[in-house]
Amino acid sequence: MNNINTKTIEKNTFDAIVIGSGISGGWAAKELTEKGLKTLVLERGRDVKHILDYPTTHMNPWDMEHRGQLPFKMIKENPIVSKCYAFREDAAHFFVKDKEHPYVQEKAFDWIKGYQVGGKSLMWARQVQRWSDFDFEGPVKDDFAVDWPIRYKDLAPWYSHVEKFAGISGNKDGLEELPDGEFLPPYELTKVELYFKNHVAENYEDRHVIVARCAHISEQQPIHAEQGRAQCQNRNICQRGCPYGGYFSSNSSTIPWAQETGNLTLRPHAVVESLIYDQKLQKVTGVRIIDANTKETTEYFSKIVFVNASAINTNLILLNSKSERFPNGLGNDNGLLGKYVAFHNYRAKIQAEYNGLLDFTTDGKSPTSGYIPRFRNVRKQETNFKRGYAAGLSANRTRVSNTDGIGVNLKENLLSLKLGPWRVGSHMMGETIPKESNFVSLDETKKDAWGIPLIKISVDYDENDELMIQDYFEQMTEMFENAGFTNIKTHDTKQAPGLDIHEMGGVRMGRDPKTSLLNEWNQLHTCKNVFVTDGACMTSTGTQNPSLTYMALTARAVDYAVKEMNKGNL
Amino acid sequence: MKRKTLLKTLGISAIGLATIPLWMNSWNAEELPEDDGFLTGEQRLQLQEIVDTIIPKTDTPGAKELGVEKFISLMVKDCYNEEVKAEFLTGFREINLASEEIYGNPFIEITDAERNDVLCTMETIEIVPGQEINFVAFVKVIAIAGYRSSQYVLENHTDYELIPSRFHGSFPVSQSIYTNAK
Repeated sequence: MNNINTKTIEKNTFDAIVIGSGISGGWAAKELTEKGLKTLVLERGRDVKHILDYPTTHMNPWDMEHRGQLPFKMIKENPIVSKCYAFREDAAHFFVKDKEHPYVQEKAFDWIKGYQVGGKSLMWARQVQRWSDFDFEGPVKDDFAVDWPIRYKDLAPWYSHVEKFAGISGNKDGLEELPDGEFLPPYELTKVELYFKNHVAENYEDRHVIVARCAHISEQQPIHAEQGRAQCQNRNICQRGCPYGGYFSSNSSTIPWAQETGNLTLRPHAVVESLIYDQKLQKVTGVRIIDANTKETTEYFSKIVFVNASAINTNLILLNSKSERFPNGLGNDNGLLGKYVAFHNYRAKIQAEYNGLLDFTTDGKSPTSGYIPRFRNVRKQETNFKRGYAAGLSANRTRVSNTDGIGVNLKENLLSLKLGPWRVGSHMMGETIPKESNFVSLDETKKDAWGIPLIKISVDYDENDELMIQDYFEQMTEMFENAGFTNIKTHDTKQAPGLDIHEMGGVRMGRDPKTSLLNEWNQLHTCKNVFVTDGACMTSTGTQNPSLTYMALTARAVDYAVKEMNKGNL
Repeated sequence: MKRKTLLKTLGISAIGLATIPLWMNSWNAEELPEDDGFLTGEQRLQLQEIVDTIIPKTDTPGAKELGVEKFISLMVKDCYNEEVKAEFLTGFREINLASEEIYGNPFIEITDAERNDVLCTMETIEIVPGQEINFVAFVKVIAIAGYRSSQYVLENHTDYELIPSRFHGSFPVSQSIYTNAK
């Protein structure tokens, strides 16, 4: 090897490489750099610096050219991402446009992507509920997928670890099925959310309405001040990026924290082609990237690699990491890589009105709303479908004005907005059952702009999901009717999987290398210096918004990885 | 104003359209707003008067003072399909034809009450198959949206705040700037 090559290799060598800078990659970077490891974070998109790169964050509605709406041409050119509720004029620049990274839909799947430093942690919905053993024990109890190799007690301290740092607002509700965490003060429910909470508590022993836990600093602690993050200012335009750092994102929190250590190298525009497997050493020695702009190939080297590219891209990278030892993708001896992909069933919604408690309204804005933890099939099987659903719950006063006619009367009506009935809404967050027939794979002929195979997605609903939707409609309608809500309307959006933006699995954790890819430490069974701690690692889906669990799994895996390195085992 | 007469007017609109607006001679070119890349100066002027009729100036600014016609022009140009855009553009001539038919003068030359009458009547005309929009109803919806989201209205007539810094879930209506409907 000549001198120049040696120098290049030295320059490109780190203790650890993290692929992806989203919600889990950011945590890997923070934990690794804090523990003293020289860490390279590879991000396929551009850099987005906290505050500096939030161009719309200070805009009032009238500052926005189309008042939030996107041009017709943009929507026409982006039929997939346009379905996402947050793809609007104020945040469209944080979403990947359809043409930028195509994929093959063997079955309809709306894949929503955010390629930039921070990934989707910039635009996420910031809901953070802990899992319980009712979730971890689901597969073994209800006979699907494989048993999780961990239980709640394994993750609980790591939930605490990430919650304290991220800043989680919530109420200690004392529910076994949704364990309490390290909470900052909770936000209030609205008057009718509170009324419904009490109504449900009086009428159903096993059902609860709580205020959803959210990643917002409701009261700043020293650890948040240290990050330069202030209290949430209740603006509710979080998807633009928050100049106060009021909600948790990689950009406001973990990435700058990792940078402070002096151990972080951030490499944007780095599209990962594959992990490099060394046959002799029997481990991965580095990562091959293609520069997003120049298309130039570069190799980076490290002792360990954390793959946090987002669930589907993590599958894509591992499937594309082929070697003599692993001809079907890294760690894929059992042929299960890419299989058992699952998601959350978000198809069902219900809306109603309430004409009581009209002496009350709300003042200011809440960054969260009500939440109903899973109550179906928790302690006993009680329905004709497996598992169950959590539900969102919100109730706010409508504002009404008569828009009939034109002229002075119309104007007066427009200027005298009145408070109408409470509008009550709920949406289902259903657990889906991971199946071998729900999978992703590489397209054999089609390639992207960087010469990497396109991912094919073949994921669909099943009978269990349909039965669950019916039950949600029945149960919620009954609960709404009993509470005196009127004009109840159920709606099945029929949306494709993917739009929930909770895709999970494909590189699942398990105890047995024959039936899973990762062990209890998120380590590839057959290639121990590679860790997967994003959505791809999920054995089952639970009903909870998953990001908090990815964060906790990541911090836990990093702790283990560094201990193993220090023992000389990696 | 007879609805039948108006419908008849619109029925001949396809062949009866003049290329040069009939009221051109009463305006100096210098007074005309400039072409904005979508609407001609005359159309912009007419749209100003249309939004002024829909949401007029009283003791508070109307849609015209708030520049709502600029918002409408931009929204239609950018946020609607070609069919809607084309119909929107022909709407200006239809308004003038109706105005000519009933009051003998183009829209911007008739009185406020007459303008109000023309728009009210045209708003009630049903959309025929193959037609995308009722011009007046369409313009009115965007005018209301533009008016309501204007800085003036949001800051002076609603509880809008960019940075509320608080949330109260059980706030007495008696302390709110709003009152209950009905």
